[in-house]
Amino acid sequence: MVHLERIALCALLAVAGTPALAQQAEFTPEQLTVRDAIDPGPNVLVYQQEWKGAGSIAVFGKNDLAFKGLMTSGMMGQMVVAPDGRRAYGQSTFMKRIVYGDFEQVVQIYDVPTLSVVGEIALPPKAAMTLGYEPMFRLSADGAFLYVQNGTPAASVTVVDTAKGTAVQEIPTPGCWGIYPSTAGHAFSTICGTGTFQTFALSAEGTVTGKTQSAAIFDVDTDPIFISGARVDGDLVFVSFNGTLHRLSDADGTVKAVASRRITDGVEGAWAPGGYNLIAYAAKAGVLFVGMHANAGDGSHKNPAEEIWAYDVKGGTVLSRSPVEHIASLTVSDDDAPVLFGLSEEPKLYRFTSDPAAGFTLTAAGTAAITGFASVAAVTP
Amino acid sequence: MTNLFDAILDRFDRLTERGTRAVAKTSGRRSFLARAGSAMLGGAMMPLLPFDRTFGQAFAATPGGAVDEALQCEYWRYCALDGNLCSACGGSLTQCPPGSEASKVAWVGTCRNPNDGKDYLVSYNDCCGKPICDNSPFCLTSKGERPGYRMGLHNDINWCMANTSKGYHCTVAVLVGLAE
Repeated sequence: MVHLERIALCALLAVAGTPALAQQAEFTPEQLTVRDAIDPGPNVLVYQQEWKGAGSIAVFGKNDLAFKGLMTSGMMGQMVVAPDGRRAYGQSTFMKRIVYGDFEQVVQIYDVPTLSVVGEIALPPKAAMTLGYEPMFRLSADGAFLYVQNGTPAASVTVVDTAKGTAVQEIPTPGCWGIYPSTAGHAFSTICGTGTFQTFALSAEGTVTGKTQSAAIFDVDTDPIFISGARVDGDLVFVSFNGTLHRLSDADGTVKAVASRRITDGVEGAWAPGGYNLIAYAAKAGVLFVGMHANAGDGSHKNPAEEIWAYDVKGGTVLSRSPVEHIASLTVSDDDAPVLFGLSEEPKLYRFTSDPAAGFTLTAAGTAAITGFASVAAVTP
Repeated sequence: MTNLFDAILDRFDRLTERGTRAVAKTSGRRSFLARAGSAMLGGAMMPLLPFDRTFGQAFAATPGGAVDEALQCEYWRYCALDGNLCSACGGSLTQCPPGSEASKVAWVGTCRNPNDGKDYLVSYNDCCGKPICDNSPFCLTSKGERPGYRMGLHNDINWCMANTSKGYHCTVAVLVGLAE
């Protein structure tokens, strides 16, 4: 009986096995690999902040918003991208039990082409756990130092040597907020709650060599400024809640007022700036883009933009007003015809082209899905 | 702003400045918190404030009225609240949910109670040590809110920053004084 069963089983395998073996001969198994690098070309990087887990930096192609991948971040962090677009830095918080327990804060160093963390620098555990704002985490003009905004809630700035990979110094900046590095050397300025600016001079080693205080620049109570700032021909530019554009110089080591002007003068509808990183300057084109909303009042300063205004800083005129939807933060390329990217609270990444012949009027040119609290973006060459 | 409001902010600024200097000298964050945490804004600040301690509760806790309103972002106390409502997350207007920690520091808003027409100082304490309570409404209002250079009025930062457990969970709205 057993013998007969074995004969039957062999016959069955012979019939069924022949085509299976033939298929196996034709089949080449796929190999699992890791892609070496992203496609080359200019990118737009979006910091996707998270408050209950890992954040990330999303990389999109500048020209088509093709999604190229993610770089890993921690919680409640910040991002700054080096001018060449190949190196980026993240300031991250990591808690042992994600939302409780011991925690550490670090700078993560990213190689953008390979989407990889290639280094880490330990920080004093004081970095501000705040929504993404460009002035919270900056790079010196020569890339030698990173400046980290601390808030415990006492304000201070940690200076990080990027070459040595160490925190050099913590500089107390009581009552002041935001970091605005000088265009040369290693100084930085900060906005103070008295309506003034303080400027800290730093040595080549990153240690403080002097401090200056400006005269009163703005009225903290009646027309406070946003911390979102831009560089315009070497000057610092800020806008206020009521729409005053302040142009300041830090060239001689102390912040001084150069000019101020209401960008909303003569405009009906109580328009005012609003959002988070709400201004962006396209240097070649010489145009400042500002997120604006109508019917402004107390508490509307974070309203996302209903229009983006293209403003000629030199001429002091609004060149164009482009309707948009819910854009809370901006960044812009430095092309002759700037490409502007907006982040909405949905959240979504918007791409706009601009027309220099029509006052840099914006035209919608694509969207991409993003995640988390996304309010910082950067365009690379 | 009112004198009381200014007094709170001045005290806040002094504390943070002194704290920063101490930290710069000692790098002892916990020693800073041990001093400042007992006197900054929030529950610990309340004994320092000389005002009527009913805080409008007779108007705020109307049965069937404020209790339900407290679950909505439009409730008057939430005029400068950026976060998820603890009142809809197992806590209340003045209580953190069980198992969480009350933040040691907070930001302050000035909100008008439509029931009595008075302006109240509202301490927006975060509750800490748990994930964001996305089960409750997320609200974003910014009346009187200011950037971080007026830290005591700033609502974009994690006010669990001074706690041992720093995970943001939700936000309460505690009346700590009259604004006039």
